[in-house]
Amino acid sequence: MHRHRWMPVALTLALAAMCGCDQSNATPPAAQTPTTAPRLAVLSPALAQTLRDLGAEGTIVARHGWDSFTSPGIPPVGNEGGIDYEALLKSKPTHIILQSGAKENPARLEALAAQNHWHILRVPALTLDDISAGIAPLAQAAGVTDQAREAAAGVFRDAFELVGGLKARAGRVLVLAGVDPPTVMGPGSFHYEMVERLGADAVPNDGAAFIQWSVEDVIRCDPDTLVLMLPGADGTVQAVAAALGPLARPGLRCVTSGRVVVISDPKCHLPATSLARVAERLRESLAAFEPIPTAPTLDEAAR
Amino acid sequence: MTLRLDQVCFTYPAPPRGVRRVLDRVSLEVGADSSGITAVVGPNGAGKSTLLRLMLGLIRPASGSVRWDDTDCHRLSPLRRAQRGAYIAQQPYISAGFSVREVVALGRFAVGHNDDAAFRAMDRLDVLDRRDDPFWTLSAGQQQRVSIARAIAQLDPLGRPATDGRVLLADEPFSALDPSHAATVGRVFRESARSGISVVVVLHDLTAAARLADRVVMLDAAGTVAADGPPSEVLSPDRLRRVFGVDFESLTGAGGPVVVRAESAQT
Amino acid sequence: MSAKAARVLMALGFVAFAALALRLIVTSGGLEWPPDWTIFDLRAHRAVSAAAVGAALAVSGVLLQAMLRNPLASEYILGLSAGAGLGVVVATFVAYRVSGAIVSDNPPVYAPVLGAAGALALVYILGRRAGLIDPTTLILVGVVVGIVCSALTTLVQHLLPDQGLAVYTRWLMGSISSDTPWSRVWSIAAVTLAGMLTAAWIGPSFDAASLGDDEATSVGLNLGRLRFIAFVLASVLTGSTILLAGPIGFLGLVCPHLVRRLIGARHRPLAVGSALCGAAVLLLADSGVTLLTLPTGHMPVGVLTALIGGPVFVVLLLRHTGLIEGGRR
Repeated sequence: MHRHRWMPVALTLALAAMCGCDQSNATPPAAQTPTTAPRLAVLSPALAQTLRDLGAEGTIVARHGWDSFTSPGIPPVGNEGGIDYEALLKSKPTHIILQSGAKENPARLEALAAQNHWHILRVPALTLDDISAGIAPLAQAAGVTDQAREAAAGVFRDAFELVGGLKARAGRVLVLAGVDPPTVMGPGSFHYEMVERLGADAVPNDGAAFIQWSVEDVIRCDPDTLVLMLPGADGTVQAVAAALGPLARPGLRCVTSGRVVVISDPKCHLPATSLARVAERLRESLAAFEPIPTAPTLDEAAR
Repeated sequence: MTLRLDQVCFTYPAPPRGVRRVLDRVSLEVGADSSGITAVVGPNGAGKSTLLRLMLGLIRPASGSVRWDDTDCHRLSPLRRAQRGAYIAQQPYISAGFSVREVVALGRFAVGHNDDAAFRAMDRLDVLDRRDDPFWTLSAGQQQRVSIARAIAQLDPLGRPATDGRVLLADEPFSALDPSHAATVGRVFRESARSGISVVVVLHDLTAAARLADRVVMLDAAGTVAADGPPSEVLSPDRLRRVFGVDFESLTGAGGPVVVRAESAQT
Repeated sequence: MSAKAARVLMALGFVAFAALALRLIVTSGGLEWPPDWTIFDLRAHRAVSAAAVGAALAVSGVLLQAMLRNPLASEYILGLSAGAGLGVVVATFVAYRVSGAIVSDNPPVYAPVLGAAGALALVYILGRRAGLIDPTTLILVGVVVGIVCSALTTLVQHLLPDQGLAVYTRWLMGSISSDTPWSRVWSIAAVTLAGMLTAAWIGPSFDAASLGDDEATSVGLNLGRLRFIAFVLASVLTGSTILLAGPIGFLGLVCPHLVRRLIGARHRPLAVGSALCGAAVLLLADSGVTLLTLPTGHMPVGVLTALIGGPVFVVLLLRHTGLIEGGRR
């Protein structure tokens, strides 16, 4: 019974003590005067990467929670589940960079943006063209020079130039994001688009961006070339066999003829300008293959 | 109050198909002439517990009617029924960690809280010393007495709306009790009957029925009323042999009649 | 209500108030008095949401435990939270088919409530054996219903263009959202208060309900009507919390237990006490996850309640199973 009597007193004292501590962070509300130096809160790992490729890393003052490529010293301000508005306010941004998807801006973000004169920039990143088109608005927001912007755009454009003869060398290309179970990157994914842009023939011809297949489906597809997107994998030849997992055993034609490309770039899934590097690697590997031996025609066989 | 059953039938579903008839055209009346103690006896599965539950309106008959003073008992709300009838189940059960006192107080749900009534009931059932203990810590016999106390408190006229004709239905109230406490409970029932409550008790102990009851209703295995009348008439060895299929003999002991199975050493 | 119970309730009220105050001065990495109105608004929004959700889940737990006569019943374990989540996802999917856009920010209130009600109905129907509610079967059925609802949710998610990522992170992770409009927060807080008061008002009926079906009816309780009211109330309370915070587990289990030890088993003080306890616990948990800054941001508060509540549940289960073996039907 006594416990309950002095509990309120103890709690009051505790509360008073807590109120007295750490006032140092209580800065007066600063009116957002238009500063010349852009401060970008980038709520998208992909867009942060593009900004880095533009040389604008220094302008990033806040990052997406799951963005492991931006320096961890930059405070995380939320993810798809919700924005941490308090952390966002503390980072004092000038621009909010969002990757536009099907979702509209949260109402509170709009309200805070209006209040603090933030610019909200929504940049789509669903296709390679989106990435290309996003370079200009990002560069403008970050105050990047025209020269730097053109350079980055140029690199990205050149990476996807059509390579002649790729179809003869690579044949039908199947791109996998995982081997166990095989996850196919179908039409609508960047890598599918990449393969087609480079001039090869990506399979399958229809489906979603990510398609779950079984090993049997892969056998039935019988691709000429296999591309494995495994971020962080060891790219050596020995490791390739290990990387194949259950696909090594069935005696796939592409595996026995050595037409397997492993892309181990940790950023290979980011829809950013860094995909240029992936495209380069892909082009090098595919171009290095011998042309696929064609089956002898009926006449030739008869002879 | 007159509690009247009219051609009541009750069935349970019996897998795979079909039903099992538990009570078959049972008609009887309780409380019309006087209150008093009515014992319901019969072999296992005869439907004694079912009969009690039907009388209280806890279940509906398949056919026939159950009336309380000419009103179909199912037309009355549980609250109104509780103001006139109390029930003691075969197995006392409580899912919350209530104390004995709190359990007995539950009996006053329909008739208004009254500490004195609860106190009196606990005192009569000799559970007063355990009133602050959690119910689940008591022995089976003590729990049964608490359950009875709850029903007694429910019917206690103290501080409750006046109703004429109350009914107490008890399903095997002596099953876990030692002889001394069984006698106590028997006394409580007798006092209740004297104060105007019609007591209906399901018993499997025929001696208890013979000693306690003013009237015995005997159900047979087919679920019909095999006999209905004073114990001396109903509990005759002849009738008992027909219903139970075993030989009985009626003796007179110091405390009253004794009904035991007649069994020679060889059988 | 006894004097002791009243004192405990006052103490719990004080604790809840202190937890609310604490939440208002907590920020990443330390304590800080709110520097301006915007920050105060943000924190107050979180605090009121957390208090409402915590209280609603705790009261829901009391209702379910009373109705199902099982001290291990709670909205999370019995699949109500999963059902509510399914309701939100289905509503989002239907809206998507109709309008072509994923408008996941403000699903209609009836969606999670119907989902929770559906799950509870299923558990109730399947959990009855020969007309009795068998405690062990009930928990099993509840877990299965929860799993099935989660599986269906995943299925519907995959039918959405973004594989349901937006819906998942917004509604299916147990974390208190800052994006719910204030009007909705206040209305859900009002619903929670009304729910608590109703549960307290009909508390004596729940006391009588713990007697077992026949005896409860014999003392005057209309069991069917009580069950229906409790059923609706639990579904509304659980469903509406999903709108503020997604599924948060174990509050409905742990808070009533804690409060029972302090206040006793009578349901009127238990309902009020549990609400206060639930609010306090979730406010403290939310303060905890806010204080702790991880590289990915903040842990969802549902993770913390699971980490603490899970082991507590196991302990309660073991203790209760020991009790169940003796002296009960």
